[in-house]
Amino acid sequence: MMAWIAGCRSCAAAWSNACLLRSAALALSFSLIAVLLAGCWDRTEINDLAIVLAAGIDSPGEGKDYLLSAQVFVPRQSSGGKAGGSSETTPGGVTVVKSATGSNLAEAMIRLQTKISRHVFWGHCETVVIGENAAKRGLRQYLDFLLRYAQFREHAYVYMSEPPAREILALLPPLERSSAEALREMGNLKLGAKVTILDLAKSIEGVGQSAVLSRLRILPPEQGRDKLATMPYMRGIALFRKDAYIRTVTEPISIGVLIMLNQLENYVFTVKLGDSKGFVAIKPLQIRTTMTPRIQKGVWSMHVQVETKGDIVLNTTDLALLAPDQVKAIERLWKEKMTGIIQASIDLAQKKLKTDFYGYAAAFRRHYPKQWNASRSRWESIYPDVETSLQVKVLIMRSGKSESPQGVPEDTIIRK
Amino acid sequence: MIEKGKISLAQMNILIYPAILATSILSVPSITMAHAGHDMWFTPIWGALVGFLTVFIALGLNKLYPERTMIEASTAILGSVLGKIFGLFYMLYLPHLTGVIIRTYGEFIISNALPHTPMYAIMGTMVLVCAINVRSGLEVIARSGQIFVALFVILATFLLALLIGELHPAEFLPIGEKGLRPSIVGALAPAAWLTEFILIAFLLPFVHNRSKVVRKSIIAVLYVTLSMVVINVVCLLLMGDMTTSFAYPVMIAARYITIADFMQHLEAFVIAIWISGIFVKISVFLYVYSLTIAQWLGMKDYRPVVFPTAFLCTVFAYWIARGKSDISGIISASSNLYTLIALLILPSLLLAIGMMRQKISGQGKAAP
Repeated sequence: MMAWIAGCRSCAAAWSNACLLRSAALALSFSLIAVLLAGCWDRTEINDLAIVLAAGIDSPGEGKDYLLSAQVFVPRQSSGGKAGGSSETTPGGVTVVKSATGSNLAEAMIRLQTKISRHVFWGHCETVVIGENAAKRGLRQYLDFLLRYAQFREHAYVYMSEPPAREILALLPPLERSSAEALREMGNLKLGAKVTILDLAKSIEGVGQSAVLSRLRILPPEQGRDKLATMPYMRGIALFRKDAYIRTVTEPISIGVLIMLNQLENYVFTVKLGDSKGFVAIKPLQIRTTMTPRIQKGVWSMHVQVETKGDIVLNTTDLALLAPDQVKAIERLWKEKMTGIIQASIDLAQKKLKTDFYGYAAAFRRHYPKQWNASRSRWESIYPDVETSLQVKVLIMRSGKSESPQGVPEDTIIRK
Repeated sequence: MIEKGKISLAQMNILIYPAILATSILSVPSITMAHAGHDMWFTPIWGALVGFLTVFIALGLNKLYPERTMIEASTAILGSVLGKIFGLFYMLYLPHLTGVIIRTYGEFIISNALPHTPMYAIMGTMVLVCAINVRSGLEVIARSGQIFVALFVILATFLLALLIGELHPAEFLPIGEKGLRPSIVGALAPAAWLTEFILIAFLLPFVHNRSKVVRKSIIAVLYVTLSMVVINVVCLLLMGDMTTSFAYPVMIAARYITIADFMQHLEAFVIAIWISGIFVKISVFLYVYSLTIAQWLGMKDYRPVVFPTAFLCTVFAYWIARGKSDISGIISASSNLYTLIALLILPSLLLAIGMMRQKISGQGKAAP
């Protein structure tokens, strides 16, 4: 830089004298600028990048090395169709999975790079899958790595998988470009718990010290198809105490867990009416859970209110669904059903697992900061004894396209 | 007078806005949270009180000597020996502060965008451009500032608006979890940043329309405070208690934006905001420092010292720290005290002495 300034000065001095000297000085100063600009130290061409779409973390067991897998996008095959000979039975193959082991994730990542001829780029990794064994060892190391290494996005969705994460990443779903894309779309659809890296870290590091993740399994492939040509799907919710996986809950408890977390969408409640043979299916349009903590005379209690509105999507009873009494009866049964499911999930958290999955601690901290700070060290003994009162409010909004039941003669329908 | 250009009051306030926010936008959320916890979002409001104080000191000095910068005024107030010692302090302090700013810029770019690029290329290119800007005179600095501040404000508003969907208003509570004390301690950082309003004392002599200066300066402080509050609120509502665990929370927030599957990976915008803001900030500080040197030495023009000054500040940027952890040490609470002494306490002493002298000489004149 100093040389450049000197060049500039000599240029000014030469102004009145010789034109030759001036242009020589100019040329010198420009060439000096070129020295400064020559280095494109951080230039990486896109065809030198191995773009990672999903990361998988596995562990064969306590004390053993971690296995880090990366689902790498293969750009050649993504553009246009294949040259020929493509058959229905082979999957699209736009991704490959590479894995490497290491005593920690950073080490595994560097070893992974040695197996790939391009610069591994994690900036587009939208999905992180953690295998069950790796989850049992605690998420702390993974979270620190994902939130420290600059390339990872905090918005990536995190899942736990029952089979090793590597197997989930290896799948080549027929419907999507990659299993990472499939999992991201499933996250956006809220088919299970939608948890990003940031959410997960907040929930573990927060006062509740717990977390939930959707649990993945592999859909068995159709007969005659390649065994990789299938999708991962979500089944059950994995529960974490502090950062370690403790157990999985499946329906109906998992539904209760999602309701308590305000995360349930895409579900249908089936209500069976006592005296008739049929049933009514209700799709909730929205479910809102609010928690109101209360501390009175040293007694800690939590009031949980669940408000939901739903549409009837199926009716195989003979009820016409027009009479208010009939709707009331269905609402009552729906309410009982939901209350049962939610209560079971509350009991599981408070009595059995004694882990605050639903944010009780955060609620007490927000509304009773003084009492909370005085007794936060005793929270683990307070939590199981917090009296939870549950109130469910349901409302059936509409009965769908039809009013009276279809597929039965008019005279069997009960109108009142 | 050394500077022949004149700027308007609005231009001066536009220069001050990024001169304070450019660096605070990245580090203030996590520094304030480290001390104030959940109450961090309103700490800049306490800081604003210090901002007002600084503005009044700067305006007071300007009222005593309307056509002199703080360095020129110091010799008039303290006499030539003491005044030169006072000026010498700023000769030594300003490269330190400017060096910190340049280094903060370098560290941010290296850790977020260009990890393999050598530090001298990142800092050197920026300082070179700023030095050329400064050499072109105050009017040019002010005009380029107007363009970049517009960019800065539009992009920042755009980014923050895109995050609205991801915010959890419940995070506001609890307010005053441990009383008011933590939020006041946490306010030290925004306060230190707001003391940079003392720059007014260097720039005011070149402002041609100074009739509404008090009102406009107060509004400028309010704008800066409001911007800090908004940034803190967004970080708090997005990341909650985790805000303090990140080096650059605003960067994390920008990376978190995902709208309709294609509005994502917007962190480059934060870098664009940062560069446009820091360009103005480094230019302003470089200008003030060059001006200080020229006035302290009694030179007729400040332009010859701009490039040496720029080089000195770049070298300071290397000297002050080895890595990111050293930088954090420099901008943490204890060294905020250092900033407060340089930018608030010394100018206020100068003003107090100046006012006393004026009173005494006023009485002296009245007596006979």
